[in-house]
Amino acid sequence: MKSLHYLIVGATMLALVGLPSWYATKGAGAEAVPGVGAKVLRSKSGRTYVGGGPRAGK
Amino acid sequence: MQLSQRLSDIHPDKLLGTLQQHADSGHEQAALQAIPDLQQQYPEMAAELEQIKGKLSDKLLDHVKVLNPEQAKIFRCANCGAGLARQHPDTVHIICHYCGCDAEHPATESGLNRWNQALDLEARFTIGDMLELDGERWQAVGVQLYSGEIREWDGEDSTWERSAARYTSWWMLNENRELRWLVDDGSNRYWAEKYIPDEPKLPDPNDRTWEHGEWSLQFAAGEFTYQPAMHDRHRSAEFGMRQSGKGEQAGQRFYISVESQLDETGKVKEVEFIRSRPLTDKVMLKALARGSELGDMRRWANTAKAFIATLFLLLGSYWFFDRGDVPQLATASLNSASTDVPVQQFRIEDGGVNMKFYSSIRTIQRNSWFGVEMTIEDSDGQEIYDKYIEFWHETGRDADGPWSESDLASSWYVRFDEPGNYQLFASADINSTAPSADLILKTERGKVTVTPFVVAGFVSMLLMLLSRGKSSSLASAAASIALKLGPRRTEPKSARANSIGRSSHGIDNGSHGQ
Repeated sequence: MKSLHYLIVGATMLALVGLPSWYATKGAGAEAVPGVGAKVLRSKSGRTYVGGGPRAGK
Repeated sequence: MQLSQRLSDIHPDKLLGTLQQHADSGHEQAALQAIPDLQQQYPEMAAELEQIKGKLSDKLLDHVKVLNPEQAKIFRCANCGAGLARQHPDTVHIICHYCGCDAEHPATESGLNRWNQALDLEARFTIGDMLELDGERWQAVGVQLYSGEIREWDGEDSTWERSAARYTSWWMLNENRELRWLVDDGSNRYWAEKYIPDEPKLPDPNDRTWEHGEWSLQFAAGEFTYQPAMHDRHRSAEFGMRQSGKGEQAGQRFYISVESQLDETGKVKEVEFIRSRPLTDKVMLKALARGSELGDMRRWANTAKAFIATLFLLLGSYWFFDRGDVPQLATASLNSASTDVPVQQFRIEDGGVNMKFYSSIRTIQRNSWFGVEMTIEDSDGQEIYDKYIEFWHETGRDADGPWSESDLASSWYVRFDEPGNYQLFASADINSTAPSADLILKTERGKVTVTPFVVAGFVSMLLMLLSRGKSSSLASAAASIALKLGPRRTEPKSARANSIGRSSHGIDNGSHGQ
């Protein structure tokens, strides 16, 4: 196991740096355009929301 | 764990064979140490055990480890026959580390006590072992274990804080027959030497700048320049400082300790001044030639460094991928009846472009909200993206008094998968309670979300801390030279069995006169 130690550390480092970079460059966390259901957007079924407070009677 | 303890419950028929097996497998010292206890527990086998003892003693006598054979006197313990050495010219008393008796006086001599605990001769550091420090070889020739109480001033609570403590003090001898002390307080190691100060004086017991201790001797084995006795007491007063001046040792921490030996009535009979310096785990592992453990410690320390480097790599990667382009700013004045107001156009050359959207409104009426629907159309006028954002302000009152909250900005990331021309439109929610709002939209290409980098950063930090902890705990365990002891069982087996039958406290670990 000792002989594999640095190999495992190297692989972990690569994963720790590589995965976020891959995720970021691929835009995996971003909303895609054209989006899913782009043709029926006006039906409001594909709407996404941002914001909104805890106001009563909203 | 002492061999005598392991053998104490074995069936008598198997005892001699098992003992011989231990001796044959390289544990001659432990086997020899176990014999005096076994002889008392199994008096019926005393003669056979005596024969084994004789053989082992002969064998070990030739292998007593000494610094310099010309300066050492090697002799047999008067009680158990084990091979011992007297190496220091000022030694006046030798306690056999095999049987715990005064090695130079017959056990039948009155007034001599046997120490009621036994040194673990299978421990990784014991009497006879060598240590190389600052290019000089030292050998452990004696050991003492003290337990007691430390008293130090707690400035925050303005009171003396007391805590139980114990420490091991190894008497170390070099080839010039100089003595030093290697001390382990359970968590740190120190190298100590006696000195004579220019203006010797006893510290005031109420001096808050010193750490005061009250100690009692629990165990001793090896050779000493005085005769140690069970429960010998001494007081200590210690304070730490840093080496002043220039040179290699400048800035190094060291401790000054004043130790007052007490007589039976508690009066000071002798005062010694000791200067000690802490030894790091790394120094200890080198000094004890524990290469394998040093390698393990370094491996985990390097691993911690690798994860620190990972943090910087993540920072660099985020900076590289998040450089962005020149931000594009657009504004639109909206009222609650506005629909499809053009806000901004984009030209996307290649698919897969990331863009950060940041939308806000300048102001909003108190206790109102304004909804905005943003849509993106392609060059054919086809709506291909839609997002609804609500900006709001609200107030109220609670137990803490009046409060006010608002959300007037929002940001998100969009990925354009296909090249082309796009236009963004904004429409107001007709139900909005705010009559109008000035929408500001900032877009920036080539921006990436920070969340995965933050998550990876936390994981790296955690792995770094775990690796550092592992390195530290491995080194600390391997550098430990704290005394390992076990109780001696000196009661005959038959008497012990009866005693156990009568009481759950049937095993006598007490001191027995010889």
